[in-house]
Amino acid sequence: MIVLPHLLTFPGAFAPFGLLGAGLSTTAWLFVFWHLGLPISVIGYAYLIDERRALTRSAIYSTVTLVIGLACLLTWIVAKHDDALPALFVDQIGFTVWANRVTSMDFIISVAALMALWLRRRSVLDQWLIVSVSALVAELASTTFVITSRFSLGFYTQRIFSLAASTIVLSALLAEATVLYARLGNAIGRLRREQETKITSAQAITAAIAHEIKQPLTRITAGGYAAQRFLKRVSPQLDKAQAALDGVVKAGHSTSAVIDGFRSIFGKVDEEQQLVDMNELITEVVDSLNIPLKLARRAARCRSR
Amino acid sequence: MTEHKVFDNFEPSIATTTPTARQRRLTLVIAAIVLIATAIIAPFGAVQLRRIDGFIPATESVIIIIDFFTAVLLFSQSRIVGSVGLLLLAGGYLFSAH
Repeated sequence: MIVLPHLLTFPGAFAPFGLLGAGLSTTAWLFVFWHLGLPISVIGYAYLIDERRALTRSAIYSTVTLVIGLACLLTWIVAKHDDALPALFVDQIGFTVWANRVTSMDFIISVAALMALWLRRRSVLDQWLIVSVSALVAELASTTFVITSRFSLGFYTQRIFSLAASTIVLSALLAEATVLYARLGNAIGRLRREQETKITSAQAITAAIAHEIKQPLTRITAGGYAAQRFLKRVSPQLDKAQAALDGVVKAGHSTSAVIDGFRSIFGKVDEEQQLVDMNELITEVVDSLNIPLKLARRAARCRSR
Repeated sequence: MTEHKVFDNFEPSIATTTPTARQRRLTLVIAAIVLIATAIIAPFGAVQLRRIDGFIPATESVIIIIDFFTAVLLFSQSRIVGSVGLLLLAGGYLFSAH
């Protein structure tokens, strides 16, 4: 904000003696304030970085308004009351002794800012701020102790250094922020995929359990139903009811075996390995089918080799 | 889950991420180059050169743009983190950088 009036009032830039009704030292005073803003805010930053608060949009708007107001006020003061302030220039080119005295104040504050930043440095931003403030310290050291006039070698080189430093810092911060958000996006994607995989495998396990348990469950229902029928007859057929109930108990055991089998997949149960008699297995399946068939007075038979 | 905890505490801001050793080295090298180059030029710094009136408008126009974008970046970071210090720094960049 303050760079704009500095540019407008600089002699020879837009008008031979600068715009905004500038006096000889107006531009120089603007330079002094311009180079105070960054170090003061860096010192404030170093001490208030951990002061956390929910910052609303209006907090940012009021900061912007405050900054613009301050810049306008300072510009008005140094443009209107140039005569009341110590003269910093003898002509458009040469500094007075006061110029170096005033910029030495800027220099001291910027060194303090660099030290505060160095002591508090933690983040990526802090590292790049060190570059910015170092360039500022270099520029002010040169202005205070070396340069005695505008358009000298130090004047030109220092501005080029500062320009290079601020370009590098902005590019680096933009690049860092972009990489950070890309990484964040990837992390969110990974998390979502992980959740989806979990849901899918839960669905698969549920389907498998349902499939395995349905078969003995059908046997239990059918066996119970058959036993009821045999007992309800005028002359209850106890032996057949007994056989049907035996089948129910057996099916109950095999259900629990199925559940144990599933739990063993997740390593929660001590595994028990057994030989499987395929003939017995087939007979069992046929038996379970036979109960409803027997009720219909039909029978399935199987022959095993 | 520990992974989720890390995720909750994670603030996506350049003002909170820790720099890597490479980033640290790079920034310190650049800062050192600027300071050393200034020291080397210092003995000849007072030599008067030709007056170029276009120099200040050219460099300061670029500075205005760069500082403006830096300020915008810092304002958005200050909202992400909710840090008063960052807001102040963004204000400083908006007022003036060099």
